[in-house]
Amino acid sequence: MLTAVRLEEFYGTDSLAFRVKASDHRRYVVKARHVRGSGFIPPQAIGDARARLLGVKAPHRTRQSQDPDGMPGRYADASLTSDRIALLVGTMISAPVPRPGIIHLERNWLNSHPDLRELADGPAHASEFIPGLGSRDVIPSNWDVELDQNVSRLSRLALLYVLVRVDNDAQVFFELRSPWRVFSVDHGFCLGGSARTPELLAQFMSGSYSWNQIFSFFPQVDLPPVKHVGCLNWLESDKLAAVLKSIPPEWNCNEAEADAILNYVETLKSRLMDDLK
Amino acid sequence: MTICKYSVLRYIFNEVTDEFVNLGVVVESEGKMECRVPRKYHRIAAYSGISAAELKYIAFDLQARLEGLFTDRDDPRNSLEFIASNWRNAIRVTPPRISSETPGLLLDDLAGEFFGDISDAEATERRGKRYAIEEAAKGFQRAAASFSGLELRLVRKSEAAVAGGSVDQPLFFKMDLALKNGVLRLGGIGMSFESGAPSEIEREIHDITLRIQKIHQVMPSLPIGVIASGMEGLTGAKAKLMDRADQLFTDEDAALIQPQQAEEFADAHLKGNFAFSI
Repeated sequence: MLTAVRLEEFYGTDSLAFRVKASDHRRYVVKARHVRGSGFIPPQAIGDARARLLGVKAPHRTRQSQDPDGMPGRYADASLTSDRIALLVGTMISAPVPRPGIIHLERNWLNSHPDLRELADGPAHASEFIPGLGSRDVIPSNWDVELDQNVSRLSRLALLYVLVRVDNDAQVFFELRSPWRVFSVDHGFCLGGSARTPELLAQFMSGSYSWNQIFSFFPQVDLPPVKHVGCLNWLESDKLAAVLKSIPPEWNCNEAEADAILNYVETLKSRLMDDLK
Repeated sequence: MTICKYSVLRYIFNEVTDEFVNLGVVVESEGKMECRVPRKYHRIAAYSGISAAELKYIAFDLQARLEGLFTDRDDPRNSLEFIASNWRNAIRVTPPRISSETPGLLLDDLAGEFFGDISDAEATERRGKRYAIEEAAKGFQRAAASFSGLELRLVRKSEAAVAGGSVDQPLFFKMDLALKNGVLRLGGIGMSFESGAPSEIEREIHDITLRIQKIHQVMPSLPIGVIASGMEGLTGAKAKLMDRADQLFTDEDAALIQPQQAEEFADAHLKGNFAFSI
């Protein structure tokens, strides 16, 4: 069982992510569940050290606007489940995503740091930290010469984004040094995100899929990525079922939701294989 | 579980450009505070343009002052939180972070990470192929695996291999090794086996899975990949190995690699990836 050993950085993002060194000596970016029922995240949880220093109260950040149920817990749970599924499915098809993990957070460890107190103890979602990444905008202009070796990675990402329905919130980053490898991180909004219900997934399935707009920036990548469709064979049904089973019960992904997700991924896989063969 | 707090001491040598060097790490645990400063200053001297002697003076002075401050625990100003929030001049302290490591271990680790510090004796010792091979052998021994009669040899500069066994129990273990900054790093282990008679297959699979389990218990951070390739004609055995590995590797701590994914796995997990420092 992985546990968080050392807090290295609290990012203070909307998802209250933080970086730890874990008991396996690897570094992970961790997203934990929020304490259910807290209607807002107070400024000290946001980690606004400057506001505290100046005695200025930062505005309370509320999650109500992003959460249809008005429940921050639901918002966070759905986000953890989505990201874990995306990373596991991505790993299965060799898409460039970070290594996923589950890190167990202990209450007294969380209580020892003011920024972490609003987070729930228990299993948290972790993705291995990849250092030195930057967005496409900061890549030097001659980087195209290095892009060729990313074609396969981007093609697999294109498939992953269809399989887990990553809409317009794709976070694609590149190593800021040769060989400029591409990685996709933070898939919390995939598979419908916090609005996900079995009905919504069924509605998605009844429509047609589309390739994520991010790939329009990469003309080198063939869309549809016919050459790489073979990797979908690695998504065997029992392995996909194991992915869903690996979601900790604390994240409140009920059976109906898990079945709907499994059905969605399998359906999209079949559809892609039929379309691209 | 005791939780330590730690901060990094920064010397802002140019407040206009906000450039700084790390001049120390502080660990606070159960009311005690310990400060560690770098052993060598040449690297940060070259970066900052300030002489190594001056930086050393500043660091040792700072260490003495901080340790002096923390002797009076009754004063609330003598806490990491307070100085992190209030020191706004050229010496700054990062907001305290937490760790569940013991203070000594944490200090050693932080000194290694922030200053690249290891002792001279250790640095001298950690050079050369002989050391790499010996340490690799120790690593295997620590993995509680029995390797009697096996020969350990260096295959390439960055690889060591254990090959041997007997005709009816051939084994081949290969490790990716890297000597970086005098520290030997073991990137991962690949295992393969060749089968003689089909009757031996079951035993070999059992043997390999046991060894993987043992290695994993001792070195949980080590990426282990089982690449089931080169077993054409032995379809049943391959499926059995796959099934066995599947049972073992239900979590992400080890991976069963499809032959087609071997290259990706090596790329993602083995090359230059810190996994285990002997």
